[in-house]
Amino acid sequence: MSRHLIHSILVTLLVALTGLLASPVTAAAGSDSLVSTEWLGQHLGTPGMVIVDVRTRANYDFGHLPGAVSLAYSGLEPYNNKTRCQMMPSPEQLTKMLRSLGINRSSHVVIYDAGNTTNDATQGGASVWIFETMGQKNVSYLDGGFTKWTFEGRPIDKVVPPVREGDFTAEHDATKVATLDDVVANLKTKEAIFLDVRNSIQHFGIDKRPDVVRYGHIPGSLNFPVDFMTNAGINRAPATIKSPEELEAMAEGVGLPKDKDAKIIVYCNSAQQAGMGYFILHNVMGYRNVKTYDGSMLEYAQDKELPLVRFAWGFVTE
Amino acid sequence: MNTYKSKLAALLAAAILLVCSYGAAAAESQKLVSVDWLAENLETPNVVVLSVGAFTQYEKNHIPGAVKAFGPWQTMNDEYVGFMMPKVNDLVSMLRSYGVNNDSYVILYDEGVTAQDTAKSARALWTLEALGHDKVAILNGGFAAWTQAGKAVSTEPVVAAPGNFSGELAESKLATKAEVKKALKSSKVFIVDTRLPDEDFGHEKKNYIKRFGHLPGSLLLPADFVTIAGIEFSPSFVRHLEQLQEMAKGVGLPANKDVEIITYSNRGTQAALGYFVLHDLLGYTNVSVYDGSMLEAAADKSMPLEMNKWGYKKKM
Repeated sequence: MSRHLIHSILVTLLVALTGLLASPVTAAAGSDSLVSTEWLGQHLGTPGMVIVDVRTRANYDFGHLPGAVSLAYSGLEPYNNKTRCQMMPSPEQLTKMLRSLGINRSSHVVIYDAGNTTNDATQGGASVWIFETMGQKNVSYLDGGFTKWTFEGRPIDKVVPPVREGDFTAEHDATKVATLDDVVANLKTKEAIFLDVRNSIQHFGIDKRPDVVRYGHIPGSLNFPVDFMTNAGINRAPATIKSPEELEAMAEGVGLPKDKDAKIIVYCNSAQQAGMGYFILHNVMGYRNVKTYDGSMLEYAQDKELPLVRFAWGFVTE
Repeated sequence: MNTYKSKLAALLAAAILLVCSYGAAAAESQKLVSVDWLAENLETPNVVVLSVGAFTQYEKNHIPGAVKAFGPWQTMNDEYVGFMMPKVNDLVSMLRSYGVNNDSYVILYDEGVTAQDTAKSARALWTLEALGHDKVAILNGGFAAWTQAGKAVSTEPVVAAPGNFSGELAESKLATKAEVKKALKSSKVFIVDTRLPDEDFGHEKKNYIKRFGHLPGSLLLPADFVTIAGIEFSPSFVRHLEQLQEMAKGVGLPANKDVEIITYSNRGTQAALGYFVLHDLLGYTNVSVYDGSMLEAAADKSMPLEMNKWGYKKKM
């Protein structure tokens, strides 16, 4: 009898342990990748936590979360003259930027954005991808951002906190980034699934951003618009991330496999939406092999030799 | 002999015009006429021009000789569901009052700024075809194309001599809720959602639609995609035939033109534009419009709807 009891306890422990191991990567580092305003409200001022505001500097100056430092998203994906599109900064540049904000290797970085629209959320989501790609292990994203925080009447101020230079050192992790070469190679090998997270009208090739030079999508791409990943929409805010159940249903509904080891290359126009797609798929849903195509359509469409499909759903042509 | 010569000359001129105005004219046919063709044929006997756009627009100015044909082209049915086909008798007397005869070639036009405008003409075209009147066409680009081409406009309201139009409903053009329900169980019927992708996926919906999502397994061909109208472009010219063909294939429709297709939208207007493209331009022979569309389907809990997925997934 008692042996049976011990056995069942062991099994329970084992199940719990497996559960721990199976949860998303960042959880192992001690905090969730998606934190609520309630949680952050209770943990303001925790030693080692750096809150990063990725809205514009003007917005930051007007009022921000207590203790937050400012790093406008435009600085994280500056225009790159060589590729003629927005690309993440070099490790050296990022090291300098993050050190000046007082970020250490051991810091727990909490990123927030305006949180009003999905477009706002893409700034925070893409920032998470960039921080992680550059080797910052412990990064969280504030669900609903500044909009949810202020809707709930939580405190904001204008105080720019004193900063002691951090020891953050960027180490570029190539497994999180797809280059143009990777994308071109994958056109043939088809090892990875191309995931287009632009809106469906751009995916179908009816519309495009003016600075993207051609219409259409990479052949065989699935379409999972970032707009679908948050609760924001016409007359709806803030842009909180949809529930895990909804995300799982949608991933299946756009044709992604259930296998979390599937290789996925996410792209959009400039990598901002794709970075958010990475964050959702990798950090929230637990897909392990996700890369963001940094150059995205801004870069890809420039090479006239590369195939683009118009007037079709990627899912159907596949 | 003389009239024969002049007819020949007119035909030749029309052919040249068609070739010259390629930019806008590629999909044009008997079912989609160009501004130039209409300008040439305003005086042609049997040509009846109907303005189906907003009556305020008509009262400001309109194509000379055009009749104000505001409708109602869609109204409440016996179950008090809005935006359905009116009773056939009402439609017949309405069309007679517009001066439509059984041998009339009816040319429909709208504001021509957005694809939704074009959909109004398409709904009127579908209505006429459903009543058995095939001699009907849409003016490509509508009133916007007309005025941009510098054609004459008139402020004089037209009082039409009553026509002798008669028609009967061809059941095959109109899909009822019961028929759609049945079709959902068939793998042979292609149901086509002509709303926006966000609505198809169930991320957004119109306020007057009761539930999110789409009819299970439907393909997605947004009516907004079939014209070149966009945020920065008008007139709402219908896309080139080759592009429309690519789209039909690209959304998962088969090459076989005899398959059964049912189009739907929020309230049956965009669905009619889908019908027009598939039936009148691409030549699918067996297309009907689900008249009640989502307005009716979403209000009926027994109609299955899917969300958080693309409808076309099932047809893979």
